[in-house]
Amino acid sequence: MKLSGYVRPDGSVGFRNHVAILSSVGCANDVSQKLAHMYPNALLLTHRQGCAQLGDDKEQSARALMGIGKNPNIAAVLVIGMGCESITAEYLTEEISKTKKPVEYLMVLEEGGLMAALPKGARFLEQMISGASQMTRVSCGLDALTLGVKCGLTDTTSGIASNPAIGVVADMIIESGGTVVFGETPEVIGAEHILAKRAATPGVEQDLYRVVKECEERVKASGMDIRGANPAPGNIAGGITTIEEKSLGAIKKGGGKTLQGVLGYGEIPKGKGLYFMDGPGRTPEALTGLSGAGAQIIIFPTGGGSPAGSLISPVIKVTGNPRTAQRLKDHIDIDVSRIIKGESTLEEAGESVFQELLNVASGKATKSERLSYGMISIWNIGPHM
Amino acid sequence: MRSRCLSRSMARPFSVQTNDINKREESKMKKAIVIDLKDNVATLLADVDANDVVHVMMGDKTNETKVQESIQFGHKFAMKTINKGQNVVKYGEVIGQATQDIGEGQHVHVHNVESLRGRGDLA
Repeated sequence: MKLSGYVRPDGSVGFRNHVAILSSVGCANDVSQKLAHMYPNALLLTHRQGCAQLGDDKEQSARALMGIGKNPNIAAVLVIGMGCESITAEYLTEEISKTKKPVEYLMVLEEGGLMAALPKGARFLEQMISGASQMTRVSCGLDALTLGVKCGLTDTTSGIASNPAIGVVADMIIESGGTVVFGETPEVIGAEHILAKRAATPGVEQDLYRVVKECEERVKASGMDIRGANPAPGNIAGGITTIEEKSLGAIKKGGGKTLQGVLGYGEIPKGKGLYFMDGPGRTPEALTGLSGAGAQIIIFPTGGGSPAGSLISPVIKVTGNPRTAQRLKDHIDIDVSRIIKGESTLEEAGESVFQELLNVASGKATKSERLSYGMISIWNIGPHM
Repeated sequence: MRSRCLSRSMARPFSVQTNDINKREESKMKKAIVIDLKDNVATLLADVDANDVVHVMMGDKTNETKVQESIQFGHKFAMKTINKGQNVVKYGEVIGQATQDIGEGQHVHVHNVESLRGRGDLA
């Protein structure tokens, strides 16, 4: 089974060929936006983090931003900072440059302000866009793929149809030497004992139990019932009663292979196979984390029909709910509702999703890509000072 | 008291809108699925009204159960009586506990089931 993509200097393969303008800090967003206005073909990546953060929270934001810059779908990166932030443009550039892809930075205050920074940034972008535009796709194997999997607007069809169908795809990719990253720690609560049985080592098993416990402890520290936040009102309207029920359906999206490791949010896996990434279920943060972990493509099972996308990694939306498939055609890429009608097996449905994955990898735009639906949102776990 | 208020607002069915075509198609089927033989709930694959007889698929077997109330597509009903304090089982696993007695064919959802996990309100 062959894909076609853009081979990067480090040997990784992108299935998109973006030139990114990446803010290292929220204060630089204005500058990034002005450059993106001059170069609409560049991919604008703005966010609200990067400064006045503490410890693990700062580390996590830096890791996610580095991972985004390193994502193989990005051909070249211009990092924009102010020069006064804690996650500096210089630092991100140094890390991203380990991939040997073209990467430059601007620190607006050091350049002498906005008016001086803009022409310099424009010059970098002009060169990067010229370079990227001359790259061509070449054939590669599935071992080049890191697939992200995230479910959203879950209903009770998700655990019966779309999640297990995508689990079939996850298994196929791993059997072909690829990598699959799934996550959403709150949506393992009540199902961790099932996933833990598939841990490659006792250390991986402990890591999984640890992140789930930390997640549940955060809920307990809030003094609130998790219900209402997760399952969210949309999940409950779709028939999901408790977090345990949601989790037992959610873990099926990762398939049935051995769990090789538990990643921090936005952390790039060191090997091949199946990985779990710690992080929230909330869609923008979950998708951003998967792009940071290096997923070139994300498959997104949805019951109620979330329109969400990622700016960096094409998102393939799959529903097992026949009403959603009919009502939200603009947002759903693949309809696997024949499963619950008893007209299709999980394997057949998985095959149809897999075929779409091959098409998307080779350039077909997903529904959310056509609509430019997406945002960067980094999971924030500490106070802002 | 708080959980009752929460349950009402959360049960508001805004995302499951039915159009007429769907309703006509599904009125012919009225199916439900039991995922694991240990389960005491079934998931509906159609909207049902009180006293509808539902064909419940349980692996290779099918069973017929009469539902006692009108319940939406995708929601669950009890396959047998679940007494207050008993576990609600789906996927062969515990998904919560009944907060009141639930009769066979009755709707099983946030109004009569509570989570055993993520309960900061009880911590």
